Amino acid sequence: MNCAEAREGLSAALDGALGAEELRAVEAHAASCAECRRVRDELADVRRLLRGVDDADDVPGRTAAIGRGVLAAIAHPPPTEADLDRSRAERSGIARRMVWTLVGGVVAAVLLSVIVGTALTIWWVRHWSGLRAANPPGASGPAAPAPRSRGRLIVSAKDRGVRDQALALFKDWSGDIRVDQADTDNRLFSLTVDFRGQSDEVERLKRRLSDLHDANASVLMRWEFSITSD
Amino acid sequence: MSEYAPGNETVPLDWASESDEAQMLRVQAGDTRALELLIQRWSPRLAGLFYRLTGDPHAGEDLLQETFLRVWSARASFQREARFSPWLHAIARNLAADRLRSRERKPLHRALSTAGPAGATTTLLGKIPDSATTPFAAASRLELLARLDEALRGVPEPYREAVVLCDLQRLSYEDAAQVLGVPAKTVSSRLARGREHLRTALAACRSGPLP
Ligand SMILES: [Zn+2]
Repeated sequence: MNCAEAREGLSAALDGALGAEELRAVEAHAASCAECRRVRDELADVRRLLRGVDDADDVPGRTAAIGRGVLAAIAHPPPTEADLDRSRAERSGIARRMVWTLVGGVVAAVLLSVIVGTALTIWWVRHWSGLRAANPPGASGPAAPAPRSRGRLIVSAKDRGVRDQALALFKDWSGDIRVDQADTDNRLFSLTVDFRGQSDEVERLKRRLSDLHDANASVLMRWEFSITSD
Repeated sequence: MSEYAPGNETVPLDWASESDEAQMLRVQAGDTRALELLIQRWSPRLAGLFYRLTGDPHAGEDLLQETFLRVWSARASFQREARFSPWLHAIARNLAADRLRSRERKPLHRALSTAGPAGATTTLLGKIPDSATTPFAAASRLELLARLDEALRGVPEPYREAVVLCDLQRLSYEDAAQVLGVPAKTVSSRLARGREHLRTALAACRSGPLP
C-alpha cells in the first residue's frame, strides 16, 4: 500500500469504518511511514474539531414562525399552473353565460329576497321569544370549578433522562409543550412546559420538581419554574 | 400558550418523549400537530445544515419552510420501518443543492464568500463548547472557528457535503449515502478528501509539532 492509498483509509479508520483486513494494511503502512502517521494525527484533530462544533442555529421565534408558515401553506395551498389555466378557461366561458343569466337573475333575486326576508323575520321572532322562555334571567350556571393553577417550567440539560423525568411529573396535568433537541446525539435539549391543573396538586408537583432539580443539578444548564393559582 | 405552539395547536405532553418516527407516522395520518413537533425539533439543526451547504446565513428561513412543506406533501413516501433523520436530510440536501444550482451563474466560491452581510456568520462561530480541547493551541478558539468556517467554504461541493453530513451533522456513512444517493464507499472517499482539504487549510493554525 502506498501513501495515496493509505490516506483514504486513514480517514475511514477514524470513523471505525474499515474492515479488519483493510485496517491492518493501513496500520502496517502507517507504522512504516512517518508522514502518514503525521497526517493521521492531523486528520484526527480536524475530525475532533468539526465534531466539537455545535452547528444548531436556534434563532428565537424562528421555529414558531416557520411552523405558522408551513401550517398556513398546508391549509391554503397556492394554486398550481393547472389550477390557474382551468380557472382562466372557466372565467371566459362564465363571462358569456353571465350576461344572459343576469337579467333573469335580477328578477329572481327580487322575488327570492321578499320570500326569504319574510320567512327570516318570522323565524327570528319565534327563535328569540323561545330562547328567553327557556333560559330565564337569574338561572344559575354549572357548579363553580375547583381552584386551578398554571405555570411554566423551562429546563435545559445535557441529559435526555432529565427530560423524560420532567415530563413524567406532568402526567396528570394538561398543557402545551415545546422541546428542542440541539445535538445529534439527542442529549442536549431544552424543554418548555406550560401546564394547567388542580391547585391541590401543586405542593406535590413542587416537591417532586425540587427533588428532580437537586438530583440533576450537575447537568442542568437552565432551570426556571413559576406557578400561579387562580 | 400560543407563543410556544407555532400553529396555536396543543401538542399532548407525552408526545414529546416519543421518537421522530412515531411523529412521522402521525404526520402520515394527517396530524399537523406532529408536524409542528418535528419542526420544533429539527429547525435549529437544519438551519445549521443549510448555512453550511449554501454558505448563506439567510438561506435558512425559506429553505426550512420548503423542507417541512415537502415533508408534508411527500409524507406518503415515508416508509413505516424507515428512519426519519436520513429521510429528512435527503429532502433538505436536495433543496440546498437546487438553491446552489440556481445561483450557478456566479462562481460557487464567490457566491459563498459574498453571501450575507459581513459578520453574519459569527452567529455560528462562537458555538464550539469552551471545554472542547484541540491541539490547535496557538490559535484562539474564535480564530480557529473563523478559519474552519472559511476553510469549509473552500472545499469543493461534493466533499463539503460529505463533511457537513458526516462530521457536522454526525450522520453515519450509511445514512449519508442514503441522503446523497451514492454508495457508502463513495461517502468514505469524499469525506476523506474533504477532511484533507481542511487539514491543509488549517495547518497554518498549528502551534508546532504534535506531542
Ligand atoms: Zn505514507
